[in-house]
Amino acid sequence: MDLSTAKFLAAGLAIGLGAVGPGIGIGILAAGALQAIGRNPDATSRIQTFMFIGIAFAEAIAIYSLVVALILLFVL
Amino acid sequence: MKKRTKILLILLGAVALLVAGNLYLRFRLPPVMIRAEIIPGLRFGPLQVTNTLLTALVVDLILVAVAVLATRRMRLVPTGLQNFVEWVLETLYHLTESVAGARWAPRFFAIVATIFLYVLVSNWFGLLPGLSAFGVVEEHVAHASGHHAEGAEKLIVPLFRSPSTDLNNNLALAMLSVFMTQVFGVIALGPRYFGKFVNVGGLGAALRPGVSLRRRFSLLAFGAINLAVGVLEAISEVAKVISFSFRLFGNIFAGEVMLLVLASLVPLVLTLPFLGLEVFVGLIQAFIFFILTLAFFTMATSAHGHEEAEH
Repeated sequence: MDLSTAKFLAAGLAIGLGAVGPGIGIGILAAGALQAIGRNPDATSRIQTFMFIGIAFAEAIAIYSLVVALILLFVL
Repeated sequence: MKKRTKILLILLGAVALLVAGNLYLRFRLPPVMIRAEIIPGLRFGPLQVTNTLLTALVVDLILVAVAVLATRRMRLVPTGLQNFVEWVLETLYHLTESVAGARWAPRFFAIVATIFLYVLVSNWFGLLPGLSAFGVVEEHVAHASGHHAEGAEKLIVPLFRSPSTDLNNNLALAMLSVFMTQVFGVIALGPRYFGKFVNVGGLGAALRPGVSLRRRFSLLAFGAINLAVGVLEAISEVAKVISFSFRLFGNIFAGEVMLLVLASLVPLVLTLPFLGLEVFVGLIQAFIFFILTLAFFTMATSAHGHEEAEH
């Protein structure tokens, strides 16, 4: 395997594997938020705010792997 | 016109656009630049002007112009632009108040609302169609690295590029946010705020005279744990800067690269829904920067009472 092949493979693996965890996490988060809204519709706006904060934290992990993939592809 | 004929016409139009785009609008994918391009010929002494810096200035001008226009002839019953700006600011203020409480909301509002508006406008500015066509043509020497090496070619260095796709801009915003978190923490709690990072209260209690040996050991252990937790708190402050800046950069930059790739694969048709998606992502990212900064400010200013309650 030469260097550029390894680079493409590494970039694909980085974003692919890195997106698994946050995907699951965001799914759990949204499910929890929807259940909470279903039980208490009056608190929708507050729950949404906290859900977005949580999603931002979960998504940051995916963004890290995206940045790693971009660096592998275009910088290194 | 019947509904069915309408749908049929829309489908036919889409197919026509698809074919026309594929025939006449194919283009080769330009190299993706992670670093902001330096505009050739625009230079102030040692300071090289990048296109993101230029766009950041334009975004500032837009925000200032809107603010001036909206407040030039203020009326008690607002109309037009003043009405719109008031609606935006009131919505943001109510959100700020619901998170931070009535006491701290006035102090936080200026910073968090500025961050929101600046990030929002700069995210959306990069989405204007045709924006990156304005630029300076530059003779490009072949890339040393890998697959783009095809001899000298002409490339357009765009004059405008969304500031959010430059890591420096996002890093500056993130550092401002984290720095102001510390400032508000000190304003609210005084020097006690730094007790969060250097937590020696537990160790002090263990060394107090008149404590049984067994209790002394457990206090010592808890003190050591508290000390380690303090170190972790300090690390998490640094991690905040990284995650703030990379989140915004990754989302907006990846969005623009995705639009570019889609436009080169299926011109015209496929880009339009994704442009809509990117408008939404730009709003969400601005909102997340705003609400996270606000949440960190609120956490820093509220004394953590449970530690006093423990002992």
